Order: sequence, then C-alpha cells, then structure tokens
Amino acid sequence: MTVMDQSLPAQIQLIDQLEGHEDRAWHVAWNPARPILASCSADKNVRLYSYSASPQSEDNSIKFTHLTTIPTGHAKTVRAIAWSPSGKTLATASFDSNIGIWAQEGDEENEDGVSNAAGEWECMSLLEGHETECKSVAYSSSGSLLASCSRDKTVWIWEAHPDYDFECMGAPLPPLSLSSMVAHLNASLPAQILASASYDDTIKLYIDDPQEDWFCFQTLTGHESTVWTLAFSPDGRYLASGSDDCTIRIWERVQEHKWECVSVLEGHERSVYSISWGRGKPLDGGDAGSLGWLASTGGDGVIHVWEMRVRSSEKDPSKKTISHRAIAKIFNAHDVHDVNCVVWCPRKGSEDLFATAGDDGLVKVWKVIPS
Amino acid sequence: MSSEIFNPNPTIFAPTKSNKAAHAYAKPHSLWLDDGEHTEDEEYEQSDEPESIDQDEIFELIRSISDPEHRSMTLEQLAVVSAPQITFDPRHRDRITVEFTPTVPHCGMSTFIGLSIRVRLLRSLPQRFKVDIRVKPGSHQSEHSLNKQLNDKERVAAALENPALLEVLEQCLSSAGHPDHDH
Amino acid sequence: MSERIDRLVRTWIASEQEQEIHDAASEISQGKATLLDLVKSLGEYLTSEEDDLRTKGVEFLSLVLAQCPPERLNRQAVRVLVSFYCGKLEDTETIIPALKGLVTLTKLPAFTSPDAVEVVKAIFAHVKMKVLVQSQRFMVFSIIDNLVARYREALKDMSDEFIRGYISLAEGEKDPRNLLLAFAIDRVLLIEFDVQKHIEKDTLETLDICLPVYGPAIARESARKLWNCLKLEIFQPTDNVTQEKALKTTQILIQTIYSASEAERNDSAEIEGLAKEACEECIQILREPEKSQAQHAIKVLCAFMSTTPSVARYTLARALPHLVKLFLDPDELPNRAPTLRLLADLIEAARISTAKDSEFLPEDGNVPLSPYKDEVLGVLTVGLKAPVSALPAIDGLKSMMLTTGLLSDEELGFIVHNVNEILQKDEDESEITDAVLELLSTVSSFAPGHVSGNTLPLLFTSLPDHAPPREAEAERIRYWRTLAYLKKLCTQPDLFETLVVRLSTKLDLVCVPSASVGDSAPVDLEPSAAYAHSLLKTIADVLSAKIDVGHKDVTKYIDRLVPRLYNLFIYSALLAEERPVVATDARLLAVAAQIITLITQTLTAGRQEAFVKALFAAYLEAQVSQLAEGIQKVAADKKFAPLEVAVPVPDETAFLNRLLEWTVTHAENALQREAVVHTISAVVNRHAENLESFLSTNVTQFWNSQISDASVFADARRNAIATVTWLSKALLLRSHPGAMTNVERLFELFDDDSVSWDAARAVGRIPGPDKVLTKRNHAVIKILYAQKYCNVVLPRIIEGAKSSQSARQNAFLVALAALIKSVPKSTYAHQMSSLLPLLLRGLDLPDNEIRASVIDTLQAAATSSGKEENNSLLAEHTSSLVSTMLKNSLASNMPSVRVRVSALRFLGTLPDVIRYDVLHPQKATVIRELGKALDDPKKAVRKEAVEARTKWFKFTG
Repeated sequence: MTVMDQSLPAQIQLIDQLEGHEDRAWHVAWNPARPILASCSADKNVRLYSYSASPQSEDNSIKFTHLTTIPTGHAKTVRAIAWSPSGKTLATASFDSNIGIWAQEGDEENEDGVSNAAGEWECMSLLEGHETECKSVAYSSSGSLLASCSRDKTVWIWEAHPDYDFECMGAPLPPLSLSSMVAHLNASLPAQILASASYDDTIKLYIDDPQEDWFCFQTLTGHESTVWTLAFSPDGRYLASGSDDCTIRIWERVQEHKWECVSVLEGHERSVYSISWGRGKPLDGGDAGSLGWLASTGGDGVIHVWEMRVRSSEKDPSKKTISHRAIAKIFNAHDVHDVNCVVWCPRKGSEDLFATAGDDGLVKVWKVIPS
Repeated sequence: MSSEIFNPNPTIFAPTKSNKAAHAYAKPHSLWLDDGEHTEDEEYEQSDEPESIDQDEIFELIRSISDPEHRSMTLEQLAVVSAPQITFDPRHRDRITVEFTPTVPHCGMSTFIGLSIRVRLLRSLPQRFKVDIRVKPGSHQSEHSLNKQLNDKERVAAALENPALLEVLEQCLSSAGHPDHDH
Repeated sequence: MSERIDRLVRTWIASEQEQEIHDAASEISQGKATLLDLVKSLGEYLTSEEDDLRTKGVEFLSLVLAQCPPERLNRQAVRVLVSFYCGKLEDTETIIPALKGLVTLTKLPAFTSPDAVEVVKAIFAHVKMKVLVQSQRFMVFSIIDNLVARYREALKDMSDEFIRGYISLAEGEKDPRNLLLAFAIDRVLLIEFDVQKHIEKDTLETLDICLPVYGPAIARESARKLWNCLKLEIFQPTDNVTQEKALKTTQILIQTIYSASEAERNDSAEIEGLAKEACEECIQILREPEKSQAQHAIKVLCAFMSTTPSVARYTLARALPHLVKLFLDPDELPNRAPTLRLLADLIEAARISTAKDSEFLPEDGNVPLSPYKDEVLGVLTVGLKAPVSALPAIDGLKSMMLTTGLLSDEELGFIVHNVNEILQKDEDESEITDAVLELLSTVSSFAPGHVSGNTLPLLFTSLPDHAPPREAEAERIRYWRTLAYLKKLCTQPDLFETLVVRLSTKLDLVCVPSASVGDSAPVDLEPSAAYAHSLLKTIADVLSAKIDVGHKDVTKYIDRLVPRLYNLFIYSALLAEERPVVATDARLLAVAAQIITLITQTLTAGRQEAFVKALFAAYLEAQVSQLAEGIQKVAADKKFAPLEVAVPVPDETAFLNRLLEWTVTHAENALQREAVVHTISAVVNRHAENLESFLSTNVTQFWNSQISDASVFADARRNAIATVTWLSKALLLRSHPGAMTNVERLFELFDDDSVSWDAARAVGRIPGPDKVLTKRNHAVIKILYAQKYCNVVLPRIIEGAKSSQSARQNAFLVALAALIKSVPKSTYAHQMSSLLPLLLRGLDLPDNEIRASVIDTLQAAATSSGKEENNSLLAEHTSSLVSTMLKNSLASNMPSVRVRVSALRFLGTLPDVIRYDVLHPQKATVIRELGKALDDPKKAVRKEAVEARTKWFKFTG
C-alpha cells in the first residue's frame, strides 16, 4: 500500500503504472528527443512506451501507451539502458557481459516519430569485451562517446562512428585498486567528466586528456559502503551520489579538477539504489538560486524528492552554500518491493514527472504536485 | 567450484527437536481428548487466528540445506545455522537478519552457503521481507567483503544467472524442507 | 649405424634373447640410432605375410620402446609410433604387442592430447576384451588409466563417445587386479566426467561377487590397494548408496581374507593384516567422536562386526574399551552424546552379527558383548541421566536388551528401573519419552513382568481418581500424557488385562462417584465426562492395535469388559431421569460403542449369537441382567426401553418400519438417528431377500411422506435423504436392484432447489466406504459393486451436466464430485477425458468441500497409475488448470485452508507431470502468484506454497 507523507509541501501522484515485465524491472530511460519511455528487466526484454498529454486537460492526465517490446536476445538480465542524445539509438547493458546497440532500420525522422518507434528495433551492433556482467552504460552529451562498466572492474569508452560502428578507445580504464569495482557510472559528461561509482565505497572522476587517454583525476571518499548511483546537477557544478550506507552525498566542484563533499542527505533506511537530479518546477521562491529537484529511492521502497538551492552565506555573501529541503516523500512506492531506479523526465514542461522501476516488474510514472 | 576441501572433518551437532505441546492431545481450550474422528477440514480450520511467520518457521526453511562441501550433512548439523541466529528488527517485523557461522574461518564455501540461504529465503519468504545475511562476527577472515557480497542484490541476481553455480545451488537446496532426508 | 640395428633385429627374430633388446635400447639411448631407424629395420617383418613374423616384429619394437629413456622420444617419433600402433590394433596377430607398446607410449612426455584421443578411439574400435586374457586386459586398463590420469580434458571433450566406449570395455570384467584398476578409473570418471553413478556401483557389485571366488590369496594380495580405493568412497562419499556398497565390498573383502584361516585360528591369536590396520585407522578417527569422519569410521567397524567371528571379536576388543574410556574422560565431557551414539551403533552391529541364530541360545561366553557388559551398561546408564545423551543411551540399552543371551533378568529390571525415572521426570514430552516408551514396550514383549511390576504402578498411581476441574489444564495434560504412555505400553495380553482392570475401576469412580463425594459434587459434569472419555478412548485404541496384530485375548473381554460397560451406561441412563450424571454424554457412548464393536467383531458366530440374544432381550424386553453386570445396581423399578417399541415385535418388516418411523418421530439427535439407521441398514443388507415388502411399500411411503413432499421442512428432508442413502448403500453392496430405484428417485430431486445438492451428494455417497457395512461386521458385499454403480450412474451424470439449466447442471457436478470421492479411481479412470472438463467446472462451484475433493481427484489422476494418459489429458487443460488452482490457492479468494492447501499441492505436482514445453509459458505467472501464497495467514498453507514454488523454480527444460 502506497503511503504519502502529507506534511510536506508537495505530493507525489501516480500517473500511470506500466505492467508487462515478467521479472524484476531494473532501469528506465526517457528518450531525450521523443516522447518515449524505455524500461529493461531481468526478463531480458526492453519495453518502449509513448506518452502524450491528453488534449482536453492540461493538468495531470498524461497517457502512456505500450509501443513495442524488444526481445533483446541478451542471454542474461538487461541491467541498464541509455538513449543517445539524438534519441535514435538505445544502448543495453547486460549481465551477459555485452552491450547492445539498438536502432531502427532506415530511421528516417518522420513527423510522427512515435508511431515509427513502434516498428522493429534491430540490434545494430554488439559490443563485446567485458569479461563479466555489464552494469551500466552511458552516452556523452554529444553522443560521440559511449561508456560502459562491468564487474570486471573496468570502464570502457567507445567511440561511435557512422553505421553503428563502435571503436574501443585504447585500453579499458584500469582499475586503480584491486578491490575496486565499478558499480554504476554516469557520463552525462557536462564538462566531459566521467564519474564512476564503486563497490569499494569510492567515486572516481575521469577526464579526457587530449594528450593521453582518459585518466582518473580524483577519487572521492566518504561513503561507508558501496556507491550505487550518481547524478550530476543540471548545471554540472554538483554531483550527487547514493550508497548502501543509506546516505546521499553532494559533491561540489570547487576547482577545475577538485571536488569536495558539501552535504550529506539522510532519510533512507536501506540502500539508496538510484538518484536523479532534474530541473524541477520550483514551488516557491522562484527560480533564483534553484538547483532543481533531486529524487532518490532504494531498498526501503521510499521515494524522496528534495529541492536543492544555493544560498549566499550570511557571514560572507560571496560564499555560496548548497541547501536542501524535503518537498515530497512517498512510502511503499512499489508496494513491498525494492525500487531500483528513479529518473526525471527531461522534456520541457514535464520536469515534474519521473519514472521508477521496481522489483515487482512494474514501471510507474509519478508527478510532483504542490499540496 | 574448486575441488579444494576447506574443512575435511567438521564437527557434527545434533539437530534440535521441538517438544510436544498440549495440542498433541486436544484442540486448544478443549476438555476433550481428540478422538481422531474429525475430518481434514476441521483439522485445518481449528481457528481463524492468523499465525505469523516466526523464527522457527524461518529456521525450518534453511536448517536442512545441504552443506556444499559435505553434501550428506545439513547446515544445521554443522551448526552453520541455528534458530537464535535469526533475528527480527524490533521496529519492522518485515526486516530480518540471518547470521551464519562458517565451520572454519578460512572457509571458501562461505559465499556459497550464504547465497544458498539467500536464495532459499528469496524463494520461500513473502516478498515483504527484507533479509540481511551476515556471517557471525569474528567467524570468518573476510567477514566484511563476504557480508557485502551476500547483501548486494546485483551480485546475487547475476550469480543466479550462472548455470553452473545454479546447478550446485539447486543440489544443495534440494534437501531443504525435507529434514528427514537421509538421516 | 642402422646396420647394427638391422643385425640386432635379425638376431632377435631368430633367438628372442633379452640381450638384443638391451643392445637396441642402448643404441638409441646413446643417440646412435633412433626408434624410427628401428621401425625401418623392422620393415619387412612388420609387413610380412607370415603372422608369426608380424607378431615378433611389433613385439620387438614394444620391448625396446619400454627400455628407451623417455627423453629420446621426440614429438615426431611419438606421433609416428601412435599411428603405427593404432594401425596394429586392427591386426589380431599384432594387437597384443601393440597394446604393450601403447602402455609405454601413453606415459611419455611427448605424448599429446590428440594422440590420446586417437589411441582411445582405436582401442574402442578394435579391441575385443572378451578374446583377451587377464594380463592383456590389464594392459588395456593400464592404457586407459594413463590417459585418464593425464589427458582428462581431451577425453572429456569426447564426452559420450568416451564414456560409452569405456563402459563397454569394462563390462563383464571379473578379475580383481583389473577391477582394481577399473575402480580407480571409475572414480575419476565419476568425479570429473558427466557419468551416472551406476558404473562405479556396478564395479563394486562385481567385486562383491568375484572376491570370494578368487579366494583369500588373491584377495590378500590386492587387499591394501582395494582398501585404499574403498576408503575414499567411505570417508569422502559422493553419495550414500555408493558408500553403502563400498562398505559391503569391504565386508566381503575381510570375509574372504579371514574366513579361510578362521577354522585353524586359535581364538587368542592376534588378528594381523588388513583388518587390524583398518581397525586401527578407524579408532584413530574415533578419537574425535564429534567430527563427521567418526560417523564414517564407525560404519566400517560396524561392517567388520558381520565378517568373521574373530575379526568381530577383535574389533569389539579394540573399539568398545576405547569408546568407554572416551566417555569417562573428563576432558571429553562435551562429546559424551556423540560418543554414545557411536557406542550404540557398535552395540547394534554386534547384536545383528549374532542375531542370525537367535533360536539357539549362544553358549556362555559366545556373546561377543559379554566381556564388556558391565562397563557398557554403566556408561549407558550414566548417559541416560543427561538429556543430550539420553537418546543414544536408550538406543544402546535397547540393542543390549535385544541381544540374545546377553543380559540377566536382574539386569533387565535395572534398565527398566532407570528409564522409569526419565518417564517420571520428563515434564515436557520429547522424543526421549518416545524412545523410552519404545524401549519399555520392547521389554514388555519378552519380559512383561518388569513393566507390569515396575512401570505400570507408577503410571496408574499418577492417574487421578476424579477429573481435575475445568481450569486445571496442566493436570488434564498430565493425565492425557499418562494415558498416552499406557496406550503405548499395554498391548501385551498380561499388561492389557491390568490396564482394563485399572481403567474400568477408574471409570466407575469417575462416572459414579461414591455417595459422600457425590452429594457435594459440583454441577459441572463435563470435566468428568471428558476424563471418562479419555479412559475409554485409551482402551479402545489399545484394543484396536491388538486386533491389528491379531491378539487372541481380545475375545475374553466380551465377558470381562462389555457387561461392565453396559451396566454403567444403562445404570446411568436410568439414573439420569432423577439427576444429571456423567455417563450419558453422547461422546462417551460413542467410544463405548466403539469398544463393544471391536470386541464383538472378534467373536465366533456362536458367541455373537448369544450376545445378540442378550442385547435384544435388553433393548426390546428390558431384561438387562444378561447384558449388564457390574458394581452399580441397575434400578429395578425402572424399565430400560430405549426404543419404545411395543413388545412383542410382530415381524421383521414391522420392526424395521417402526425403527424407520422412530428416526423421524423420536430421534433426539444425530447420534441416535445414525445408530438406528445403521441398525436398519445392517438388517437390510443381511436379509433383503425377506424384506421385499418393507423395501417396496414402507420405503416408498417413507420417500413420499418425508422427502418428495416439498412442504416438509428442508432439514427433515435432508435427514430423510441421509436415511435413504444408507438404505441404498446396504442394498447396493449386495447388488440389490432396490438401490437403483432409490437413485432414480434421488435424480428426480435434482430440480428441487431446496434439497437438490443433498440429493446429488447422496447419489455420489451411496457407493462410498463406511465403518458399519464392512467385511469385519460380516456385511454382504458383492464384488465390483462400485464399478457396476459407476457404469450406470456416471453416463447419467455426464449427460446431465450438459443440461442447459445451470442449477441442474451444478447438481450433476456436485454428484460427480461426491461420487469420485467415494469410489476407487479404477471405476472412472477410463472416462477421465469426458470427466476432466466437468471437474474443472466443479472447481468454480461455491462449495469448498466440493472444490477440495475435485482437487484431490485431479491430484490422484496426476500422480497414480495410468498417469501418462491422464497427464496428456491434463496437459490439454494446462492453462485453465493453472489459473483455477492459483485462484483457489490465495487466501484473498479462498477462505478454506483445506482448499488452499490442496490447490497448492496440485500446483506443485504439475511440473512433475506436464511436459516442459507445454507448461513452461505459465512459469512466470505461477512463480509470481505463488509469491503471494507465501504470505498466507496460515502456516500449513505457507508450507505448501514454499514446496510448490520451489518445484517451479527448479522446473527447467
């Protein structure tokens, strides 16, 4: 039974519940260019949904329609998915240690991009190289790079060439210590930084040095257990991380190549599996100083939504500090099940919309509305 | 799985047996000896009181899992698991911690044992239960990493997609729930 | 250089001397020639038309090869030799020297995996083991052994081909030297290859048969090697069956080695050789009795107990004192329980070893355990005192008691005395109590005096004279417990007699309290009735157990117990008119009736007749004196007339009709009604031929006035339908056509909403089994009556279920569900294909009892004989079966625990009976839905859900 925290300034309303996966749903991804939501699952399928606002009402009614199911042919769980910035290509990371690249034949960008998406999706390329299960995959903001990580403790960076030809750039990034293991990476790469979260409780930040290959310029420590999830703030100045220690840490870029922990968010009772940082729709106080909304979820089945802001310090107005305020909270979002993933909708006008994937195999879409 | 033997001659413990209670003779609160005449239906429908899942019921699920190294023996016989090592979070009845004790501190089978307990509970307990599995503090040389692995849902999910591992796992689990099997 | 080789070859072919072999080998080892030179020199012989020359040629090569230093054989040479020898296997004249060569070749460092595969294939293709002698077969095994030892991976890749080939080679091998080698190979195959267990077991079985044939010499020769192989199987068992077989083989090995010398052996002579060494080895292991290896070691020692007398004596002499010492060692205090377990196992093995000639009392000193009797008894009685070690101690004592000629009567008494203490002490009953009772009942079978003199008085004393009051639950549980003990102990005739005397005395005290107590007695009689019920129930249960094992003393209780019971109950019935009494409770009457029935069933016809006469005199003429006799004085001024039937009864028909009416007009409760209906049915079943007018006229009248008349109250109609069901049953059993007349009438009621389901159930229940009309009660029963009934009724039901009217349809489904529950499966199995769709519909009927019985029927169809056919039938309905069962398994849809349990059990069976490709599409749904059943409020349901879900998880293609 879903329970809402009524005392907070906003409520989280269920918009739709998308059934169909036959096993645990691991991940969801909003298409950045088209109104499509994708989900992946241990059932080895990817499901695509289209959505549109109902014409007659402007408030909450958004309709989701199942477009197609891609039986990926991966031999094992599809753990994560990522859309290319163009929205034409979808990458799948599977426990079978491969990365699949999916697109539609001939993909003419016709007017009605959505109905087109209901057509057949083909595996255009299969990126092999990881030795054990792939856990995450991410595109760079330009779409020219793809990063993947695996339990084999490596991160690989692939260069995307025309015709779905991917080339591995140099050697895989070496593990920096033997116990380290990449668990999740986020390569929205706002400043061409690749961040990886690790099984050894740390976060590693890499940049692409034109002279050399990618290298790790900083290891962030502070979490007390596996770091599961990372999210850059929309402006790229902050990085949030969620961990098995039940906390969320906010890291600020204090210098060109120096990040520091500036805040710790508590409130989860079990592992934080996923966080997402979107622009949000500021409730009051307007846009000034707004850093957007951070959503987090995990093994306790709770979804928290925090409003993030920068404030000038009272003592020294030139110093700005980040502050957070819980604005909405929901318990048992997927009944008794773990929630594995939360992602804000990137579409303009729908910044208050997010999707979650749960161990119950369901994908749910939610909206944050002021109380 | 490696053929190395970590503990060739483990100590065996007698299984615990529960004592017969009054209900062996009569229905609760009855003066009359059960005469064995009633139907199966009545037997089940003695009361509508819900019976919540307790320590013993959970122990029952895992006690007869076979030890991966000594397949003819159960985890209970080797005192790897015991009822008191199953505890409920006092604030959340749905959160439990199952502790187990490897027979030797260098036991390389501990991950596998923990995994077999996890899988058995994953399959047999209602999904509302959140289970933490840990080795008894001080009982294993790599306690920290062992605990971490056993509670990493991603690792567990991936392990269960490994056919070779799954096969051995199924073998060890096939004795679970059948305490009299072979003994 | 090759000239010298040429010469050596020629000389050897002529003379066959060792010298030439040496010389040729040293030429090669000094690098003056190569093996390939030798092959060239042998050329003409190797291809000679003359068989003998070809043989010699290959022989020489192999002999030289055996003496060459391995490093002299490079890759190329080995390669050439492999093809050469493989080719020579095809030739019957060269096969033997070729094998010789291969034995050497396969050990060489330059030999490779592809070579291994080639050699194996050639051997499988050309070597016929049957035509070879032992030493030659030994070479074949040696070659395989070499290959398995070094090229396992390559052979694994051959998978099936290798296994099959090897099995056919090893098949039928009987020689112990070869078997030893085969056994070693088997073990590797088992562990490393994907091989079924049977190969190794087969080898062990062959050894079991062959060892005695070879005799002690060969057995002794290979004893150590064999023991080393067997040890692996015993101490690191891959499975229990093989371990047992290995123990058996060990036993036979020891027997073979030692039995011959047994005759001339001087008793005091030390055992030497394998038995001694193995024994020592095991005793070493027993130093840690709590460890797992100790369990294996004791099995070996126990196996030794049944080999030869001298080995057994030796084993006991070594092991028993060791275990006793261990037990008494203060440092080993925590290990007392496992030590006693080992000791108990050994004592039992010693008992079994001498049990064969149990008819003869062994001569003094011939009981192997005798010398250790006192110390072992001492240790066991100490063990008895501690709860952790009590169980093995009891087992040990029991084995000692059962060992012929071991214990004196006094010692038996000592044991009984000691275990009695546990019985008195043990407040929470545990399996220790069970074991004690088991032991005492064993004693009672051959020395009842100890139990009746020692144990029973203790138990009887602890039974209260008056029922504990309602709130005294602890006391109630105590008497229940005591009675349960008595029930287990008192089947033996002497003890049963004591039990009957003591309990019936108690019964009188409880039911008819003496005046002084009686006057002030509280009004709450129920606790007393419940106590009396427990007392009677104990007697009934023991009687029933005695009858099952055929005790003859049961009959005498027609005089000793039955009159006392009648007296008590008649006395009470009459007294009840004045004041409330205990023994009028229906539950008491029911169990008393059960006792009387059990006893009368065992009587001879003559004695039964006398009894019936007395019974009728009492019931119809109020003359109770012949039936009832006891301490209570039955009031003379009151008349015992339970049936209120006018005397004398004109004839049987009138009598039955009066009884029939009585069920409607006088019966106060179901118990009375049933009792009378049972009586009518029994008479009808026995004497139908004389009762035509009763059956036609009276029964029809009864039907018309009590059942078909819709103005009668529904409850009354239901009771009347039950009466007719019994009558029809009585008729059906003897194949009387009257049964079907009633069935037709019942069918007519299927449209009558107020009783249609009752009528339907009646149709189904008529052929069902009951406790009254039985063989034991001398009912007339024709064979195949149920089959005949089904042949008529089933088609009617199947047809009726197609009815357009849904209420009518449902009535037929109800009849079907009731019918299949009451008849054997064979009566409807052939109709399964038309029944299954109906049964599935039955699962939607709003009646839990029906659903449960339908599920049970489907369960039986899926799991019993003829299931192949049924399973393809079930497969056709897979998806509806799965969805219906899931619905019936969740507490949210189905309130009945019983239905939920049955539905889950059925779901758990499906993966065993329906093909993967058919059932597999349901897997995800079933696993998900069963996940909900795991959260059932009832434990019993959760247990089934766990079982079923586990099955589905394991269900893979």
